[in-house]
Amino acid sequence: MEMTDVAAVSRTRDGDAEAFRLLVERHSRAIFRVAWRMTGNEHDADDVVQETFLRAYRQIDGFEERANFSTWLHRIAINCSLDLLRSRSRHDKQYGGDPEVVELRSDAPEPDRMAISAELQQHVAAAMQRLSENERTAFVLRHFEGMPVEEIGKTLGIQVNAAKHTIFRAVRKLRDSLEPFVRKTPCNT
Amino acid sequence: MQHLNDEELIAHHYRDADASDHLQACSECNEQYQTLRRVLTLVDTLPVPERDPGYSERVWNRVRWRLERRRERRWRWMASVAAILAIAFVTAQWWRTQPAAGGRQTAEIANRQPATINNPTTQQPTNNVLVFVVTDHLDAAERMLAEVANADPKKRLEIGVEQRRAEDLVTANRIYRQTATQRGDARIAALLSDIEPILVELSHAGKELSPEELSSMQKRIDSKNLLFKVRVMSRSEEPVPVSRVNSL
Repeated sequence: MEMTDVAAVSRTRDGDAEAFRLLVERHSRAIFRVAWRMTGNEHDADDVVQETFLRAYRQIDGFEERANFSTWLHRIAINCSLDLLRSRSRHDKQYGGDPEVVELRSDAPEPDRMAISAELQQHVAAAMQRLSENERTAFVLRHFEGMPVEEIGKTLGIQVNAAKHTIFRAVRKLRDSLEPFVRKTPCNT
Repeated sequence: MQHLNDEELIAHHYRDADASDHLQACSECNEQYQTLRRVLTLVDTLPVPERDPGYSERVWNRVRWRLERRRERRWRWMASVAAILAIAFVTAQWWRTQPAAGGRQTAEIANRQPATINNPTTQQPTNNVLVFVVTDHLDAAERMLAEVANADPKKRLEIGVEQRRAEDLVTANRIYRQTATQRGDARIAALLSDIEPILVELSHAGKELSPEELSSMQKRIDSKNLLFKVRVMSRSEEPVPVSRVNSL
């Protein structure tokens, strides 16, 4: 029978490194997805994945068994992504931004990426890039992670109303950028 | 009829508010909402870069490597502290036995009050310090012996990291053995004498043990019942918590 996440956590606490390996195997791709959406960059996302599992290992005693391990891990990944974005932001202010750092697209020609045209993908990626760091983070948390607005506020250290408006601004910007394309593509309705 | 604004449409989309009735009744707002929905659906279609099949394995290897490095640094720090404590202890013992003014004075006092010096209750604190430090050392030695004893004797055993740890353990083991001998604790001294040759051998081994070397070492650990003795000794005294990280 396959070991549950809670059982694997329990065994990790007892010093079974193989049990933690199982958790890495099970969750690393999902964590990569959220990290990529948050950071907009494959290399940064890989770093976030690694840092997330390191922090999870160190904080595993703090995981409550009633909670969902995946949710707990996602929360750590979000915090790691925010830390990375904030440190990058500080670095950019100090030394000027690196134009190659923010790159919300992949050059690897994966089959499922062919579902929408390359041109349209670039427009979507560009629209996401036009969001500010806070807007993108708030949008990813609300749209992809389904996080309640109150929690987004806490995560970003801002008031609930400010979090709500940040999400509204992000969605409005995306709509303004992408509206011409959805009008052209009736198959999306 | 007042139309819905952007915020209300977005709140409806994320189910933070319910504008279904209005959207059914108002075609203009409904059209706005459908546009918004198509935009957000389009955002959903932006594919996440795929990771290759070996991705999880690579993540695990990197995480494990970083944890091991952290453990190594921590262990070295602990070993340094333990060594300093032991050296301070040995130095204090040596100073007390010197025929210098202070030493003579101590010796005279000892001669005058033998009952007090030999009273076991006055020796207990220093013994406890020794036992506490040795327990920590024995925990580390036990983990190393267990790794060797539990390895598959038919395969080669990689001991790159353990070898460096063994070097540190040998140094600490010698200091503790000498201290235990001077303190007259034959039980600890004998056990440390028993495990020292194994630690020396591991510290001089290459990056891996051949099946023959491994098998020979396992037999020696087994014949002297070393693992059991170390466990009994470290459990019989004040237990020192062993970090999970050390089990990696």
